[in-house]
Amino acid sequence: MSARVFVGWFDDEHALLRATTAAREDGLAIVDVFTPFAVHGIDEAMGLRRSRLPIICFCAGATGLAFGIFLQVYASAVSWPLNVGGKPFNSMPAFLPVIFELTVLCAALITVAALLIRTRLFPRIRAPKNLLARVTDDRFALVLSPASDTWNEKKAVAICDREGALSTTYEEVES
Amino acid sequence: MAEHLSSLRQPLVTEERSLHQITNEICAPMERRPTPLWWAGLALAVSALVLGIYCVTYQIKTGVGVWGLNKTVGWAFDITNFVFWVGIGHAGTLISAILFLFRQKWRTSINRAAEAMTLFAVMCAALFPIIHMGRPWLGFWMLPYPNSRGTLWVNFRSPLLWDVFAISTYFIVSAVFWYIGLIPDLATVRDRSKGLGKKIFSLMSFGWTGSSRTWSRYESVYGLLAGLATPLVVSVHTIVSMDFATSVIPGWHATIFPPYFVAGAVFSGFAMVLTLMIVARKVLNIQHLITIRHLENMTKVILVTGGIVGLAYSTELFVAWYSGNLYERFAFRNRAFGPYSWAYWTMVACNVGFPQLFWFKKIRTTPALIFILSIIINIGMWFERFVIIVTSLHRDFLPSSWAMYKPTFIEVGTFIGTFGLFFTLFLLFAKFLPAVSIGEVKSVNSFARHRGHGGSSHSTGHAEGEEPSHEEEEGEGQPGYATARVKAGAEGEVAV
Amino acid sequence: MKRGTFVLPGSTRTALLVIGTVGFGTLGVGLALSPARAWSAYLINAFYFLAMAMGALTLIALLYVAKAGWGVVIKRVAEGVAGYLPWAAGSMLLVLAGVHHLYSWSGAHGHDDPILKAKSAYLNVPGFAGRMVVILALWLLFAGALRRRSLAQDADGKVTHTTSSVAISAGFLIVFALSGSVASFDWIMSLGPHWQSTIFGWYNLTGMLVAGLAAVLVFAIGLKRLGALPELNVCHIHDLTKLLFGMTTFWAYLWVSQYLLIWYANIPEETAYYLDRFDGGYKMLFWIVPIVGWLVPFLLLLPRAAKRSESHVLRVCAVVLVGRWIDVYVMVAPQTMPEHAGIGLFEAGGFVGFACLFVLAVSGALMRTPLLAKRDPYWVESVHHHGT
Repeated sequence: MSARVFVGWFDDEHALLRATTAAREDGLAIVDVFTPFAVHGIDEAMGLRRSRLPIICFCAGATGLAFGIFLQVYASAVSWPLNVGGKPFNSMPAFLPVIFELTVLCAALITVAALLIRTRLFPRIRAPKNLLARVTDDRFALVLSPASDTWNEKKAVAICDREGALSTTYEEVES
Repeated sequence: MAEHLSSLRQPLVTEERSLHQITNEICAPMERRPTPLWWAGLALAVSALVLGIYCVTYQIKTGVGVWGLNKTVGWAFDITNFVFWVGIGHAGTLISAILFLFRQKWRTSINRAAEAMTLFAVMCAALFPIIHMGRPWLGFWMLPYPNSRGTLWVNFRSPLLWDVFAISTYFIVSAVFWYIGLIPDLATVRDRSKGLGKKIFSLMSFGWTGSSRTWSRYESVYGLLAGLATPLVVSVHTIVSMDFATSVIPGWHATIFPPYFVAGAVFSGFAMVLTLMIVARKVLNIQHLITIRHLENMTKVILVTGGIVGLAYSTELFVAWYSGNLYERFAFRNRAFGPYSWAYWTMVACNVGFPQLFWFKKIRTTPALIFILSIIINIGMWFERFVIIVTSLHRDFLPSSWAMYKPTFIEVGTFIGTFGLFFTLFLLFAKFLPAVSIGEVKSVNSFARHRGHGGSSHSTGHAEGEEPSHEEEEGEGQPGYATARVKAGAEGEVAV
Repeated sequence: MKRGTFVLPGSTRTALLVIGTVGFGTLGVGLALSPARAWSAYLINAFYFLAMAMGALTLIALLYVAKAGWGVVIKRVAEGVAGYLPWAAGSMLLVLAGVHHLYSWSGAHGHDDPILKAKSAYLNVPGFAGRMVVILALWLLFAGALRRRSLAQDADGKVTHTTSSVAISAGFLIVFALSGSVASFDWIMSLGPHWQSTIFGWYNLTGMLVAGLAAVLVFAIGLKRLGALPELNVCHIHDLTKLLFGMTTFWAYLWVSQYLLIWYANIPEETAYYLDRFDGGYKMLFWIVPIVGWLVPFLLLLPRAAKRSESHVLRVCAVVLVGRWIDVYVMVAPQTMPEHAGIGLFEAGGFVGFACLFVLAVSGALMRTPLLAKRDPYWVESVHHHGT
C-alpha cells in the first residue's frame, strides 16, 4: 500500500531539530525523520520513548548466566564427574570465566537479534521502497502525515520555511 | 552545546567539509581502481600468506614434531604468536567500546578500521591453537556437545578451554559489533552504486532507510554492545593470562597477570593501530579525517598502558625478590641475566624505554617517528610474550633438564604467514568496505561546521588560526590533493 | 545555604568534636588495655579514611589528565575530600608508634625465621618508617601543588594553571601508581609477612579510587541538597555514578583475579592468606566483601534511572563505603587478631573518631574556598554538561 506524505527537506541537523520540535508542538503527526547519521536530541524532538531493548539485554544476559552455570555444573559434577588435578567436581571459581563468556555472548546476540526484528532490518536484494533520496548522504527529511486529523498544510510549510528547509514536497512511499 | 565548549578544545575535523564531500571522500577508495601501491601491498601480503599455507600444510602432514620444542620447553613459538595476535586484537574493541562509553569523539575516524584489524588479528591468533592440535579437523571436539562417547564432556576447569570460549565469544561479539556499525554506511554505499554492486550492498545493508525511529533503537543497542564488549575485552586477555598464571611455574604464577596482560594487550594493539593508520591515512588520502591529533591521542594511550606495563614488570621483579622464594628469585634472575637476557632487555627497552619518547610533543606529532616507535613497541610486545613463556620454562627445577629453544623454519614461516593473512584481509577490507565510519564522522564534522558558524558570537569560540599545524605534512607527493583542498575550501563556505 | 559557599553550623561542629573525642577516647582506652587489638582497629580506620582522600586526589588528577571538562563542577568537592590528606598523613605516621603490635616482622623473633631473614633488607623498622615518610610527603606535595593552582586560578583566571595542573597530575599518577603500590605492600600486605600477591598494590589503588568516588559523590550531592552547589546536574551525577559503577566492577575483577589464581594454583604459601580468612570467624565477613563491595552496588546501579536518582545514588554510595570498610577490615584483622573476629568497641570507637575527624577536615577545606571554580577554562562547559 502506498501513502502520500509531506516531506520537509533540510541540509542541517540543527534546523531539522528545530523544525521537528515545532511540528510536534503544533500537533502535526510526525511519521518519521530520516537522517544520514544519528542526530543527537532527535528522540526528544520527536517525542520518542526510550527503547526497551536494555530490558531484553538484561534478561538475555541472565539467561546466559543461568545456562553457563547449569552447563558446567551438569557436565562436571553430574553427568560425568571426573577428578582433574584434585579439584572439586563442582569448582565454581574455575567455572566463572565460561559463565561470564556465555552471559556476554547471549546478551549480545539476543539483543542484536531483537534490534533487527524490532526495526525490521534483514537482508534484501532491493533497496527499501520507502527510501527517500539522499537521506543516507547529505539530506535530512522530516516526514509528516497529511492523513492525520490534525493536518494543516499551511502550518507545516510555515514551520519548514521558518526553520530553513531547502524545500517541501509530497512523496509517495510504500508503507 | 557547541557554544559552551572551552577555548582549550580543538576541533576534531580540521577542515570543513560538506556532508556530501565526506561521503565522496570515504567512498572514493572503493569506487576507483586500486592503486599500484595497493596491488604491490597485496602481492607482498599474499606471498607471505602462501608461505604460511605451505608451512601449515607441511606441519599438519608431518606432525607437530617439526617445531623446535623439546622436553623442557614444551610451549614456545606457537603460544607466543597466539598471545601476540590476541593482544593486538584488543585495541579495536577498546576504541569502539571503551572510548565510546567515555564519549571520546576522536574515536570516530579510527574505530572502523581498528575493529576490522581486531577481527583479523583474532583470526590469526585462533589459527595457532588450531594448528597446534595436530588434527585441526577435529577442532569441534573443544566444544561441549552431547556425544556418543558416554557423554564425555570437555574439562571446564582448564584455562585452555576458557580460551576457547573467550576467543570465540570475543570474535563473534566483535564481528557483530563491527557489522552493526557498518550497516548505515553500507546503505550509503548502496545508494551510490549501480547494478550488481547495488544488489550486493542492498543485501548487506539490511534495508536501512535512515529512519530516526530505527536510529534511536540502533543507538541504544550500540551503547549496550559497548557496555558488554568492555568487560569482554578485559576478560579475553585475562583468560589468556590465566593459561600461565593458574600454573605453579615461577615466572608464570603471578596474581598480577590478568590486569597486566590486559594493559599489555591494549598497549600492543594501539601500536598496531598506529602502524596501520599512519599508512592508511596517507594511502587513502584521509589525513584530514585521521589527523595528527588522532595519532597524538593514541600515543597518549600508549604512554598510559606502557606505564602500566612498566609498573607490572617492576612489581613482578620486586615481589619475586620479596617472596624470599629461591625459585621465584631464580626465575627472574635468569630472565635478566640468563642466556635469554638479550630477549629480556629487548623487551624492556622496546616497551618501557622507547615509549617514553612520547612524552615529547614533537615526537607525538610526527607521523614518521610515531610509525617507527609503533613498530618498536610491536617487536617489544612480541618479545614480552616470548620472554614470559620461554625463559620461565627453559631452566626448570632440575638443572639436568635445562635446555634452550630455537624456532625452526616452519615455525617462523607460519608466523610470517599470519602477517600475510592479516595484511591481505586488511587490504581487501580497505578496498571493498568503507574504512572510516561515514555516519560517525559526519556527526562529528557537523559539530565542527556549527562551531565555525556560531563561534564568533561567543567568547569561548575557537579561532580558526589555532588549528593544529598539520599543513606541512599534507599534500606532499599527492598531486590531486591540492586541488581537492581548494575545492573543499570553496564548497565549505557555501556549506556554512 | 548560599550558592557557592558552605558553612558548617557551629552546633554540628561541636557535636562532631564531642562525638569524635569520645570515639578516639574509646580507642585510647583500648590502646592501654589491649594494645594489639586497638592498634589493629586504629590501622583499619586510619587507612580507610586515608583511602578516601587519596581516591579523591586521584579523581582530580584523572579529570585533569583526561581533559574531562565536565568534572570541574565537582573539582572543589574532590579537593575538599582530599583536604583530609594532612590529617590522614599524620594518622598514618602515628602507626609507627604501634609498629611492634601490628607487624610481626618488626619483632625480635623475626630473626630466626629464614623467610623473614631473606627479606629483612626490606622489612625493617627504619626502612618502613623512611618509606612511609617519603610516600606521605610526596602525596602531600602533589595535593598541595594541585590545590594551590586551582585556588590561584580563582584569583587571576589564568589558563596556564590548568595546563600546568595537567602536567602535575600526570606526574602524580605515575608517582602514585608506584608509591601507592609500595604503601599497600608495606602497610597492609606485610601484616602477613610470609605472604605476597603481585596484584595487591593495584587492588588497593582501585579500592582507594572507589572509596574516593563514593565520598565525593556523597559530599557533592549533600552540598547540592543544601543549596550550595546548584550547578551539579543530573548528568554530572550520572557520569560520576557510571565511574563508580565501572570502578567497583574493576575492583571486583581484581578481587576475583587474586582469589581465582591462588585457589587454582593451590600453593600452600599463598592459600594460607585465604585459610586465615576462613578461620577464626572471618568466613562470613570475607564473603560479604565481594557481595557488598560489588554485587549489591552493581545490581542497584544497573538501570539507567538508578544512576540518575540522587537519593538512590546516596544509598548505593553508603553500601559501597560499608563494603570498603569491611574489605579493609578483612585485609587487616585476620592477620593482627587471628583468634577472635569481631567488630567491637575499639573498631567502632576508632571509626567514629576518624569519621568525625574526616568530616571536620573536609568541611574545613570546603569552607575555606568558594565551591564554584568559576574561572576554570572548562567551567562553562561543565555547567552545561549534558550527557546522553
